[in-house]
Amino acid sequence: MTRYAFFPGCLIPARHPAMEFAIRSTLPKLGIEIVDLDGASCCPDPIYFKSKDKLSWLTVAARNLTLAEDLGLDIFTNCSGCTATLSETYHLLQDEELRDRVNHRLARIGR
Amino acid sequence: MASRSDDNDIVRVDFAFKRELAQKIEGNLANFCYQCGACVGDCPATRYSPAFNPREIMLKVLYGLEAELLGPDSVLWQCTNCYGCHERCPQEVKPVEVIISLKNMLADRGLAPPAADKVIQTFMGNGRTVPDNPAIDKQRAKFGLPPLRPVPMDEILVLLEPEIEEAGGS
Repeated sequence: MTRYAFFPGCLIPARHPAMEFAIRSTLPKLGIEIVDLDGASCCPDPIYFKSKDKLSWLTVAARNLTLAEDLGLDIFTNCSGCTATLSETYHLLQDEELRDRVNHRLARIGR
Repeated sequence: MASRSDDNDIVRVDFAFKRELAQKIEGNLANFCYQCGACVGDCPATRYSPAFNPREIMLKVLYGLEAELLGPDSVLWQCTNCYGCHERCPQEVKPVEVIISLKNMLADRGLAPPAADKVIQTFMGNGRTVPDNPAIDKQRAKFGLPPLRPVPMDEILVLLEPEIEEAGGS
């Protein structure tokens, strides 16, 4: 069975639990094991949060990615906003200078 | 501060503004803009609000017209974040990201709209963009789902602290 870390986001688990239910009932039948992440936060939101402070936005998103990294798993989400944030963060962090800035902040919490 | 001088129409480039923008993530991309206007044609914000024009915004960035970009009630907040300009730009300027960098500068100046502050305040409280409410876990239980997992806010809040400027600055 393929294992993936599940990043639920905010709106789906809180406001649309039926969508989370659908994911949890269908994926195992398709041979995918869902692994829950401990301590995941908002992705964070790619519109307002990013507009306010892009470096903080990247850092919090990077922290969420490290949760899956700890488990050695690829991450998936069923939310379009989280997809935007997490995939963009992955792309932006290919830049070494920016990755250093973000890692510098993550070092504060030992990540 | 940069301005268009009223008497002789000379534009004075404000390099301090451009340097500040370049410090923002992807803020200096406008330098590659050659004003083709590909970003405007399919911009949904421009369609409904001619005051919002991504090509003109990039031009003002090139000129460093801070006063026209970073005032109260800035037109920049009309951007719908559709990323159409990002896809169309032949120069990979990513106008939407330059606009987001400008919004970061507005936020630095305390000029972010209340809606943005509200989202951040909710996030600072519980690590989500949805406020806590006992009805949430009740609703989840109906689908056999466990309660929402707590977010370690001590970690999150530490990450949000801005860098302390080193002596001498950079």
